[in-house]
Amino acid sequence: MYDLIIIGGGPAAVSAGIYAARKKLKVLLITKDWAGQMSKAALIENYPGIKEMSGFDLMNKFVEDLKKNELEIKQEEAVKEVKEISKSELEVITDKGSYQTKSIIVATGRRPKKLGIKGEDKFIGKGVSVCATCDGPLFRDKQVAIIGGGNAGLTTALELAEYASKVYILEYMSELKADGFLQEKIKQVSKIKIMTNVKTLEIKGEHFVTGLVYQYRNPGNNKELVIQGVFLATGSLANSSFVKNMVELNKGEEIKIDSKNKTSDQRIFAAGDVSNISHKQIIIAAGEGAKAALNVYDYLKNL
Amino acid sequence: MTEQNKEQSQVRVFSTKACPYCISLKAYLDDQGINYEKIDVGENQAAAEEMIKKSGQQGVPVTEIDGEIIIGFDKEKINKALEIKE
Repeated sequence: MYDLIIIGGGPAAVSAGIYAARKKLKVLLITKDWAGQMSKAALIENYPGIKEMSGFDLMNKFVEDLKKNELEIKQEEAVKEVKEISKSELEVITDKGSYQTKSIIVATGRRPKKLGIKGEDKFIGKGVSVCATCDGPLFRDKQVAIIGGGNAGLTTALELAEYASKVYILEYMSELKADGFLQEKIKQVSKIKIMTNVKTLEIKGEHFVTGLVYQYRNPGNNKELVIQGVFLATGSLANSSFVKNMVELNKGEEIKIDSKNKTSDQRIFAAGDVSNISHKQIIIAAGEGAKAALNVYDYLKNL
Repeated sequence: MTEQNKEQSQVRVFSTKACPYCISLKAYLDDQGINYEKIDVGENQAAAEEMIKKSGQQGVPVTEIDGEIIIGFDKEKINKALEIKE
């Protein structure tokens, strides 16, 4: 039986793994991949010590450091469910097996939220993308729209402006939510056009995307942008469904934790973007992972 | 399939520089000792058009193995096409 099973493969899971291994706990980390939100970030400029680096490169460095420690890692394994065996024993069930443990840290992060409009699913990979870093270069000299005016949306716009001939940012609210720093950067790029108070209605096309139907929220007629690409940056959802029968979630399906990363079940801890902490940032997730591991250590010591 | 046949498979990987699944896919082929042609569709516009036409996809990675198109990093399909046993 393990002392601790960490579920996830982002900054919170990695730093939890490092801290728990250094406390000499018997640790297993289970992750489907290391390709979560962080590894898709084009450029990270707000993490001390690295100057600037792509999310993919920084994630690789995290994983390299993790693997220097003594712990077991199961990659390419997806956790399906967490069950109670007895008061002191939990079972983690994956698509490949099951594992017993005294405690768990859930650090499974978030996934992109869908818009839920017509055409979205049909055109995924055919003009609709959630990864500008991956697919951006395929939109050279094309017109693209980005849905969402937060940090993710504006970063995506700056990235796409390197390839596309015109970039529209469509924001539902009356103002952009992104950091002022990014808003100023955006203003200097003439091919980026910001549209606020806009509701997106439908993605159109035959085989590939050809247009986006939208409407200004103060009632207006439907209008259509001629575009070949739509990039979704409308926020994200917590990856918490596999523990929803074990721990309390908030309305946004985030796992509720206290200042010691404890969930409503004392054997289960959570860290990073899957939890209800404010501000989803790599450095915060990494800190929370370390804190959760130390709190698990204290918990196990007092059993 | 014999080793000799396996070597004859023509493998082409269409990808972009910074896409995590492309990098994982290429690392996997490297680990398996598979020779393949790397095509950066961010740099090569003609190849980008060829990829879109053949795959019906405007997303990477796309792998072509002896004319068969595999979309995404689909390990099962790649293993099958290249007779890789893990």
